[in-house]
Parts: sequence; structure tokens; C-alpha cells
Amino acid sequence: MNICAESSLRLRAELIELRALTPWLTALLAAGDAQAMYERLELALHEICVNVVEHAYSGREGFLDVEGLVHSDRIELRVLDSGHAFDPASYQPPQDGIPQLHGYGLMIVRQLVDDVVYNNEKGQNSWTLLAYR
Amino acid sequence: MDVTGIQMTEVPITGAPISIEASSATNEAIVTVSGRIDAVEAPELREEFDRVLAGVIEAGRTGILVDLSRVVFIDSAGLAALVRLRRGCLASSIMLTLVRPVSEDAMRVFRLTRFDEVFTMRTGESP
Repeated sequence: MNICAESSLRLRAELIELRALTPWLTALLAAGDAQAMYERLELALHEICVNVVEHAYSGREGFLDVEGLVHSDRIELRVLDSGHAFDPASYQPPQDGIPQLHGYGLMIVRQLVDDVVYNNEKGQNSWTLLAYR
Repeated sequence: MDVTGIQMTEVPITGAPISIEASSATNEAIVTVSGRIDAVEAPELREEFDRVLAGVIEAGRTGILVDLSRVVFIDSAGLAALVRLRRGCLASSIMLTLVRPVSEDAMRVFRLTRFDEVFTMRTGESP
């Protein structure tokens, strides 16, 4: 499939830096004529990046590299970091009807996109979000 | 402090301006939050909610109404601040009610997490 638009963004691992995601994603989707996907992807990308800052880096200095590809049939967003690895086995999804303080970020992401893939290779984490148009 | 024990405050933070007032008609504190409630704003929001809850308990008020009608974005950290307030209210027998965000984007998070079934929510807009 053809690539309609692509872009990348490097952010320091600080929450305030994540405010740059909104204009970046807006421009990417506009360039790929995929503005209709914005609401789903903004929140999903934001939640992944918050998790990286708060859990992978946990206050340590570092960077997030965000990459976006708009294809004619789908959008791929990838977040790369060099923080602590995510342990999928440790993730406890919240239970219905029992409000918790943590654990909702990934639950929200999984409902907003069609696929979420996490990988850790040679100390680098990657989160890939896939959403069909 | 006014007669209700709730200090009128305007919190100068970028994304989520918060104002707090008291309603003598309903014996509840009304907390109005607008803008963006995300992980950046959540710590300040938590502190503000703590202050409101303490003021409500001290003044003998029976409820807190958090008006989210003008919130345009809320993430899991913002939800966590509301969950924390809910716990404090339950522990002190304070009734917590949320006014639904008008923004569909903001409301979506409540639906995805089913918090719209957990919190007491009503429709209504800020005056």
C-alpha cells in the first residue's frame, strides 16, 4: 500500500513534552488526509507516551522517538524508548465496576486501535499502534 | 473562606483551569474544571480535590458536584484523580456527582473504562 504521509518526532521523557504530540499528530493526519482518525489516535498515542515517561523512564532522563506512517488503508504509530522493559505478565487489567487508580491507560489504548504490539530488542522498547481507516 | 467553608480559588494552570464555588441551595461544593485534564495537570487536580474534600467535611456539607461540561480532553491520569476523589467521598459519606463533558472526545474515556456506570453522572452545563 502507498504511504500517504510520514513523520517523526523526538521528545524528552517529560510529561510536559507530550503536549507536542497534538500538533504533530494533527499535521501528520492532515497530510495523509486522515483527519477522521484523530480522536482515536490522539488519546491512544498520548496514553502510550505517558506510560513510557512514567513507567519506562520513571523520572530518568531519556527520549521518546515517535514515528507515524499514514497508508491508504491504515495508520501506524510507533513509540520507541530506551527505558525499562514492559512486562506484559505484570499488567493487571482493571475489573469492571471496581475503580482503580492505575491500569486504565493500556485498557483504553486497546479499545481505540485495531492492534497494539510491544517489543523489546537489545534494550529498546517499541510500541506499535495500528488503526485501519 | 466563604460561609460554606470552601475557599474560592482559581488555579492558574495551563490546561485545566479549576474554579470552586459553593451552592447554598444544594448544600454541596461545586467544582468546575475546564480544558484539558491530562497527566500534566492531574497532580494539581488531585491536590485541589483534596482541599475541596477537606473543606466540605469541615463545613458539614453533604456533596461535591464536579462540573466537567467544559472539559475537552481527559486521560487515564485525569480519571485516576476522579477515582481518588470518589474514594475520599465514599469514606466520608459525601455524595459525589459529575456533570458529563459535552465533548464527545472527553466522554469517550468514561465509556471505554465504564466509569460512566461507576460515577453518578448527570447532564448539564456550567451557568
